[in-house]
Amino acid sequence: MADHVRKQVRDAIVTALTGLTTTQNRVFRSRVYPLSVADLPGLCVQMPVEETSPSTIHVPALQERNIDLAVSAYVEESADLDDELDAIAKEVETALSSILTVAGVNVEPIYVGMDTEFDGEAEKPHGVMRIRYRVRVFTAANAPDTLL
Amino acid sequence: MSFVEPLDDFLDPNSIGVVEAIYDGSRPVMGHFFNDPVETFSGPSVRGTTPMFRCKASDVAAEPSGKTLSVGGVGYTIVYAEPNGIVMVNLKLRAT
Repeated sequence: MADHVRKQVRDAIVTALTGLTTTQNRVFRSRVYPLSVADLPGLCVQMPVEETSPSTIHVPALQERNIDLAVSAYVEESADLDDELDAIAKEVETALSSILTVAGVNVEPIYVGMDTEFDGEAEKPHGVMRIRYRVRVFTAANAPDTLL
Repeated sequence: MSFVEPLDDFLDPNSIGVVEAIYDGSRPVMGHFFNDPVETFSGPSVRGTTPMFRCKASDVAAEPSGKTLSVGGVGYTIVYAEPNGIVMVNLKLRAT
């Protein structure tokens, strides 16, 4: 049995984001513990929310899944936090602008916005930009591991 | 009779926690160095420390922001200073 479609999509997203010029292989998922300076600049990929609705009345229903995808870029200031975060955003948005093929199905991450946060408490200022996407996929209610 | 606090006794280099820092490239300054851990942001956070040096206000310029401070061979830039009582000052540091 294949993985849940969220994991399949997440894997594809992580693959697409790994090796970018600035963040290289510092792409983390399901990150719980704090990042260290050695992890910066880096990306954290999370899918915090999914909203699902049935698209058919028969059983098992065809489910439309709208998955919120957050790609959080973390940097430690070397010159200008805004510029550094925007440079990463350019790379992320470019990497995710292509339609991803997941298990033979086209999946398109739709960019919906971003927010930034700065903090000057630490020995060097840190910044984070949360780059938000929405990913819409379809599954049958009884087969959450199969993209339709 | 006024009470005069012998402040230099608290900044004696033989006292526990007192270190010598180099201010503005060449000037030795005695004080207390703090570098407590901190986590910034949420979900996930970034781990760091909060370097701060406490010394006599008379040992540094009235506005020391931008001056350098070296503590234990580690270089910092003074981000800002805030009074600590009447005669002491806390220097918020940024790693260089």
